Amino acid sequence: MGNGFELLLADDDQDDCLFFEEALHELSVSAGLTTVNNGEALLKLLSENNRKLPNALFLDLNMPRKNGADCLVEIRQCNNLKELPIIIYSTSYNPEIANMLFEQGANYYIRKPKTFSNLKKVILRAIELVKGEHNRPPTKDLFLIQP
Amino acid sequence: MGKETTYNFLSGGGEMGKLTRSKDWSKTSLGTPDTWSQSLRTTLGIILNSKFPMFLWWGPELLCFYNDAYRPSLGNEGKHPSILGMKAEEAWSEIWHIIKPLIDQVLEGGQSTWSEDQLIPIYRNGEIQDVYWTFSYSPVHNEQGKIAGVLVTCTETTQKVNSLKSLKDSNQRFWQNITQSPIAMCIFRGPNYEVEIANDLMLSLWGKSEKEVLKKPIFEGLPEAKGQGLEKLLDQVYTTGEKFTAIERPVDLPRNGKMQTIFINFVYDALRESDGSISGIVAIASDVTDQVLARKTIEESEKRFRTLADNMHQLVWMADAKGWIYWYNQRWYDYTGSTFEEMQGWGWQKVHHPDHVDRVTQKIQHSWDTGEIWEDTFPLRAKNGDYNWFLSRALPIRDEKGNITHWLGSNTDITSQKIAEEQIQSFAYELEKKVELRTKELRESNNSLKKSEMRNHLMVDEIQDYAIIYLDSEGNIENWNKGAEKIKGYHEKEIIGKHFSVFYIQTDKENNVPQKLLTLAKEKGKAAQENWRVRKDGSLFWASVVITAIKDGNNSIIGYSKITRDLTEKKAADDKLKASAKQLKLKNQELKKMNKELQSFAYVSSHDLQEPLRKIQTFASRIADKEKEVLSERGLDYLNRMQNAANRMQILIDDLLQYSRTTTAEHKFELTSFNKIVEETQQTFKEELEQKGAKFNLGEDVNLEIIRFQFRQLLSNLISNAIKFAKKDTSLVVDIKTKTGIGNSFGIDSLSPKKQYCNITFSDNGVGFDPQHNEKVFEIFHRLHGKSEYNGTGIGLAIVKKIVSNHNGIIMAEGVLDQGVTFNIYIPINRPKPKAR
Repeated sequence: MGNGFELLLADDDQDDCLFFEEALHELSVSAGLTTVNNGEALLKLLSENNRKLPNALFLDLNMPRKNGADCLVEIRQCNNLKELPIIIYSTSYNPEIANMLFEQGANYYIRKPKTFSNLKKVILRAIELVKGEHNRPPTKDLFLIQP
Repeated sequence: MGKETTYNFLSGGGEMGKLTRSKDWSKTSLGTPDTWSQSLRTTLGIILNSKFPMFLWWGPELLCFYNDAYRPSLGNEGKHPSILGMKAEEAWSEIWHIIKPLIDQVLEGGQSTWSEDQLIPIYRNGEIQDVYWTFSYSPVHNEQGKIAGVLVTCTETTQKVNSLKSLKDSNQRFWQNITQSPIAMCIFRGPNYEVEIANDLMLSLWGKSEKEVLKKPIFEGLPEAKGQGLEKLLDQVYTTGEKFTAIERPVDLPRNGKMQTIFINFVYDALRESDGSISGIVAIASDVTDQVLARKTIEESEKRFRTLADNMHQLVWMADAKGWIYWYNQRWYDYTGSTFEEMQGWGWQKVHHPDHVDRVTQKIQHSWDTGEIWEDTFPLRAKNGDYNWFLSRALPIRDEKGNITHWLGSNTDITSQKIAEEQIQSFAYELEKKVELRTKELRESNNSLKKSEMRNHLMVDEIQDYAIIYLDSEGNIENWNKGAEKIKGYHEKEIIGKHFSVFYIQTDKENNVPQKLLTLAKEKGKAAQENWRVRKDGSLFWASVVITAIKDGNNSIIGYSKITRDLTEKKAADDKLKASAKQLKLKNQELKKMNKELQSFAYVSSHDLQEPLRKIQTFASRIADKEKEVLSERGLDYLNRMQNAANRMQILIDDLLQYSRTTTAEHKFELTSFNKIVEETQQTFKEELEQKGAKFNLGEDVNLEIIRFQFRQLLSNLISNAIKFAKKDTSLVVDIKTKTGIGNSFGIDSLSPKKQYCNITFSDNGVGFDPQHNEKVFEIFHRLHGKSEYNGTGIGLAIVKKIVSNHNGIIMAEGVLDQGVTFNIYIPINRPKPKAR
């Protein structure tokens, strides 16, 4: 891992992790990627001392042991993690659940796209937003990142 | 004694000067004064002429010199004058151990000494006396600069020390006085009123232990006393020095863990220092709660007595032992119209009738003299001048020793009683006459009663559908009609005189039901029951029974009527109906449960299906992107078809999810502008609508209480349908109009006639459909067109219908082939009230 831009992906689905990795590779953005496969591992990693925090967290909702929504709440309760950009990264999109996650402090929402080219688009868009310090969309309407 | 020699340095100096001069010094180690060194001479000159007590030890042997001022300290019959010129060790042998170290300190070149109020007992006035001194030893140097002597300047402080001591003693006595005082006492010291001392009585008054309050500001040790005005009183005494005295002041203090109001007499007095300044407060207090409460109780009971007496109908009065009346109740004044000044003592005679007053006075005087209870009847004049008759009594009230302390008397108005007595006589006569008349009347009515009874019996007898039975007051059967015979199976002859409980089943008899029903009828007038009864042959029938109490003119029970109907057949029908209703209910519940399960199945399955489908799509897109070159044309075609199929499945799953969500999601109704929500939805189809050159005509806006996201979904489905089924060669025109009115103004039976509805009309100019499909279009998965013609899942309009029904509304479609479709939606303007249950 370099000292550059670091991404953290929390997703139990191996295929999705692979897609994400490949998309990042093909985008040729210089960003490091760490992957964890469940909520507990995610929280453990974030609570490690002396560890540089990632620049952004892509958080799947449907994970074993501890789901993404619960992780979001716990992360936002930690003082040093309040500013960590969190992009929800889920297969499904239910507007009511999305609203709730926005209220609970998620920064953006990505619905896992059906095509690889769209996947690349949304990941790039998310990275640009985080890098541009548009950490928080001004309104709920812009919460969902669309290809 | 040697002869007096004259030396200049020894001139003057009073008695000691004289003694020093006349002493024969040749016998001492100093030798005669003419050989004395200059420093000794100078020092002696100073000493002898000083009015301050001084003493000198000189030379190696420390010979003693002293002046007149010092002389009294040696007393009479002591060391004076023998120690003049004596060696220190001999002269002060009794205290040598005390002074030797001090002298040595000075001789060895140390500092001068200073001792204050030191006890140095010396021999004087024929005894060893305790003498206190304040003194200093200082070195005297000779011509060579060596220390040759020790000068003592001193003053006796015995008197000062003693007076200080006695002051301390008296202080201690003062403290002791406080501690042992039979009254609660304490001293508050300083402006914070620190408790310096408080005796046990004061501590128990405070309800505190010594540890809790001692050496603490009083309001810190006794915070309970705060805020009761005591701070101000203490401040006042402390600043002005004026004594403060309180009588029966209520103060809330802790008692057994609770606050209680204590009444206290107390004095705060300033404690002054010798310079007159105030340094504290002495408080003396005594708890007078018991006395105050006792007095209050007396006052209360006194007040109660007066209130009672004033409100009594009788005239009440009190007299002293000699019969002097000192109090009347209010009734007395109200009745006589007099005042206390007129009535007190023997003034009551003024309202007595002149014909009776002497007799009454004589009789009451007898009671005053003997202490016998007084009782008399006499007229008293009312304020309007009329005389009413009173029955009067007076009782002596005695103290513990049996002496009469006063009399309590009462007068009761018995005028009406007297009149009544006179009237009774004439009443009796009248009554007798009336009874006679009534008896005659009764005899006549009895005859007519018999006639009507007969009529009644005749009617009752003939009734066959009801068993009509008369019971006596005990429940025995007196009368029996044909209906009873038919229903119960007994013949009149076998049942008359039996108790009606024979009709009851065993358990009812055991539970005393027959008697309970009679009691109920007796109390309420009527008792009704539906239950099983027994026929003569032992068979059961379902009976509806009404028992009615029959009363005579004096309202006492003389018997009961009992009407019984056989409802066995009706009961059977009812039971059957109930059973099927119950079954229906169960079925309904089952259906509801299944429906719910189905919905959650739809939700869960479609949700979970998304995941693998998306993978198929993404992998397919990867192959299409990356592996294009290695695939044959046919392979590419297959891949293409696979992707199409996957995309259709995607849409199907999304629609299914939507559909189940409209069922399961929470319903939040919000007041919403209809046109605004149309415009919002329209925006999401912006590109497609522009492509079709679509035109939207909106009608008048209306505010509706709706579930917003569902309504957006509804509009979005209708709009996407309109786009999908638009004619290819004509630009799309959509009219969305609203109209409001009460239900029956629309001519549709299923609307609540009085409720306010909004009718939303959504019409397009698309391909339309045959009106025979008007109903079917809303069925789930119902599609009118082939997949390749118009793709779609057949769920969109089902969702629309579902949403409308979520809003308690109805939707109708009117299709015209090749001309378009009109949807009419009717929804209540205000949110449906939550149903009961």
